Amino acid sequence: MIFTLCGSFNDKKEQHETAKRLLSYALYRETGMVYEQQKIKKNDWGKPYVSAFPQVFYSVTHCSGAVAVGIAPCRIGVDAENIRGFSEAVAKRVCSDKEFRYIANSTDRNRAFFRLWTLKESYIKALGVGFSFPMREANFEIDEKLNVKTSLCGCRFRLIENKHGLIIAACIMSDDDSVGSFMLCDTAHTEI
Amino acid sequence: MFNVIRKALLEYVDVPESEITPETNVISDLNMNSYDFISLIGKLESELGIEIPERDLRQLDTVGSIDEYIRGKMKL
Repeated sequence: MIFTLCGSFNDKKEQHETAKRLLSYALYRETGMVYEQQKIKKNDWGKPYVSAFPQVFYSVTHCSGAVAVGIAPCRIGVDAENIRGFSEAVAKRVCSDKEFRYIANSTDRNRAFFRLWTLKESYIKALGVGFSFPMREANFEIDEKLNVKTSLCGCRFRLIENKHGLIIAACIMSDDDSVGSFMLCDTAHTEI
Repeated sequence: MFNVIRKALLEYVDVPESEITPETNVISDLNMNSYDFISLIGKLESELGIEIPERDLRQLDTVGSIDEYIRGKMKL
């Protein structure tokens, strides 16, 4: 399940704190775990995990106006970004030639870039290897209904956008379709 | 070199200049996200005329480590 929460948290510290509360809520709801009582370890690339629950995978992301947490029994990566002007230098570094053409041919080039960026970032977060993975090697095609096609094996991708310029992508390393659906939360009902 | 990196960093983060020291971790202390970090690396590459491959990014966690890495690259 991918828990997403939109709000007026623009300050990075507030986003971070909200994401931590949403993670605690999501872990308790999905697994019964009390996050605050757990010992957190990190893998060789710095990706955190709960040492007593190695079969529970989670990923946290935040940006201006939104936080999201993915919880799954398999590797999962979630990334949220606000659509804004993108750097050509970054695009050249992380996109394949075909993806570069997808951006160039789009009516909204910033949106096109950040769709690709969040997908790539979600994949890297699911792998748990940080910046060391060459992003250009994770290639994606996105249709007008936001269906994602990729040559990457053993994983599925989901992509959502809202009218306020927010994009959230998730990578779920499982063939089980029931894993990784989005849940839109609000502070009144999630009690985070 | 440290001042060049600090000046570049200040385009991405909103902290007082004096808070950026060699020990500052760009992700955990400055809350930079991945996109801003890769943008910073791209900016340093183009300003300094160097190439920083992905395999080396993992070691660039603090401002001091970026400084040391670039000095090594430029043989300063």
